[in-house]
Amino acid sequence: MIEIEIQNETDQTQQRMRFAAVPRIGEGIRLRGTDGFWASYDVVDLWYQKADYGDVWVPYLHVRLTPTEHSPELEPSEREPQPFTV
Amino acid sequence: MAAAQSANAETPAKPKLCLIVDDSRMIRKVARRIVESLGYTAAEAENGEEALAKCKSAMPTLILVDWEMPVMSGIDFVTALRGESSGVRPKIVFCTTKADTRDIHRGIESGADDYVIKPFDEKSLLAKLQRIGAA
Repeated sequence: MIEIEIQNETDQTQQRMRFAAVPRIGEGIRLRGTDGFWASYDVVDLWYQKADYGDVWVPYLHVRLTPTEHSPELEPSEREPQPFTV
Repeated sequence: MAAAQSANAETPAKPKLCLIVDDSRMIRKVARRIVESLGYTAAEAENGEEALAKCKSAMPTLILVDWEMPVMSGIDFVTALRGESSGVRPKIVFCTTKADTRDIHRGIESGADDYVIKPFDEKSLLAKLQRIGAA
């Protein structure tokens, strides 16, 4: 597994997650937002930084919420089903 | 006199320099986009220590600084910068997720002029900068 730091432009947060492969720029990944809902995020940028320990390069991703997610212009049938809240 | 006035008119205005201090490259990119749209020339630093070095070589007019950073935190940087007896006093705005009232007070007490809570957008940052006379 590869540990990747995800820098989220929409929430302006950063978190470390483990992936089987490094996503590429332009790909979409599913992430859980601060509201607890899963949504699609576009990979805007990818770069590598040397870790504090040893000769290890850590991948970093810059992601942004996919514009079509939560878009009011979309018909309800086109939108992704939202989880129920009680 | 007329020649002097003419020379002054031709002197280009000194560009406003904004230093963005954040360990997140993404935040630096987002903030750079906003400040450049306001007419600033942007410079970046990854932590407080790097920011202090940049301030010594060229003091900016505006500094956007994160709170939690490796090597030297934002609060240590602001305290150190305000402790120096330099003639220029840049405007400093904290941009951080720390939204607790005590943290806001601590940030302002350290010498910051204002405080923006992440996630910030162009509108909220612009409002803060206008309030402190930096926009």
